[in-house]
Amino acid sequence: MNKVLFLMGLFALSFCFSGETKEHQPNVSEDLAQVLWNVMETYEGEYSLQELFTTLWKLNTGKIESKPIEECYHSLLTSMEIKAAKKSEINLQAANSYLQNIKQLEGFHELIDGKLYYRVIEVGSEQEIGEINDAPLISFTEKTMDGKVLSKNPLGIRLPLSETIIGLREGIKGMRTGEKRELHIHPNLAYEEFPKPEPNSIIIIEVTLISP
Amino acid sequence: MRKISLFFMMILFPLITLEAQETIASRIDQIPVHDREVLTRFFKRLFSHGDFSYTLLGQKPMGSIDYNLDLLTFPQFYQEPHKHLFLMALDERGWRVWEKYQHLFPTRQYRFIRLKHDSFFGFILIHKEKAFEVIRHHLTTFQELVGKNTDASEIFEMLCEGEFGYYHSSTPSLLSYYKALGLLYGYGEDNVNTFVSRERLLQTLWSLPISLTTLPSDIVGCLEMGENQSPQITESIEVSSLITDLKMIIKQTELINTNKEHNPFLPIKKSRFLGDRNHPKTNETISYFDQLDGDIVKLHETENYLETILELLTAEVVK
Repeated sequence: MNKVLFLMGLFALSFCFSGETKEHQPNVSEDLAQVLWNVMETYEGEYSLQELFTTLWKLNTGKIESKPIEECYHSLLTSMEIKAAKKSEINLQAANSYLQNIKQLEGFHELIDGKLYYRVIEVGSEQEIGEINDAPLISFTEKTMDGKVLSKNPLGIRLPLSETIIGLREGIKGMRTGEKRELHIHPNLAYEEFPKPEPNSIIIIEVTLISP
Repeated sequence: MRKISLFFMMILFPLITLEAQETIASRIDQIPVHDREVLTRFFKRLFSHGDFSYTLLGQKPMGSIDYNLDLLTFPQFYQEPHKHLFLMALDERGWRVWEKYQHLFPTRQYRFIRLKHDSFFGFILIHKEKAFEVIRHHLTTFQELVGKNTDASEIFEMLCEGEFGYYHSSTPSLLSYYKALGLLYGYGEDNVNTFVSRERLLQTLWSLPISLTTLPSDIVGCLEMGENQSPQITESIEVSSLITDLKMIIKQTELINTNKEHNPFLPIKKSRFLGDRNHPKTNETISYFDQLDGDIVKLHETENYLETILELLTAEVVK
């Protein structure tokens, strides 16, 4: 919707703005609009399109003077801060409700209430292992809720569990050799606010225990 | 007499420690709950940076976290801009809250400051004793930047007052500036010299009447020749030695990850620097940082995180 309004606005503004450069370099206006749109998308939801057009018009007609870019940083940072906080909150709510749903599904096991669940994809050997040592040999694929792969190691690597996110460290407990689990991890047990890929993202790890 | 002193020390030390803990906890109690949460998240973000946590827990004399405000106006020119923008905005807010309460928590061993220059801003954590030692040991390098009559204490004060961070544009010698910063970051003299050689070579290349983009891609990549600078070179240039130097620099320099790069689940952000893997200091640095990773993760997961981190930051200087 914003995009449509933006293009309509640009069309309307083309009558107000000087047309001198348009004849010689028609693509500059169009491409500049694209560049501007890219910036605007970053602040989507935090600006008024009407005010933006009015300011552009005032600048173009000399009704106001341009100010140094440094003076604009404060409001842009504040806007980003609001957006980051909103994103965090929305993602956290989504994570909570996602895991509440997972909890109801058949085949899922709970390790930590509301925070960590798994299902077995491949059953491992029958032999029980006592304790998994601190650096088991594992292969893994780390994904987001919508399936985007964040990291993977299909060949296997020994990772010190004391240096991993809690979700993996706890989720691997009780696995048998050859077992493949899909861990569903709440952001509190993963990267929390760190945007991997976004603040408060659910992380799904497919992990196979190759050797304890 | 010694036994009596020892007895009193054994009784008094835990009491003093307990009192210090209570002081930190009671000072935290003076902070409204919402601000406490903001501060907890702020410090968690800062100390999940290798640069900051190795300064707090390890041997690094100084660590920094930098942001470029140009990202706000040209996000499309950066990779994953939202990631940086979010962190930048959250850290800026965290600092504003910290400014309100920092007087309650005097950081005796450290100096924690926010710096701004041109379109850059960032945070610097200085381990006072270690940073002063670096300045004292390499006084000539630092004096090249601030004047030969300035003593180590004055230079140290300048560092603590933020007069060192981002002042590329006003520095009289860019190479000395890089050297001073590299030493303060704890990368070791050999790596710093390699980095400075690379920069010197870069300046020479920029001064030549050739299009640098026509150079082989591995050279362009190695030297990261994105910006166009034209420093004045006063000495004559031997082209044959330039080729030898280029070959040597390409062979020697690489971006070194100081964290375990194959562990994507390490909740600590990578600390990286340009250096030479063959220098003993490089491997020493990597293995020393690797050893600290477990401690940093434990710290990150501490239940009373804010109290713990503020206790570490405000700890008395151990003599």
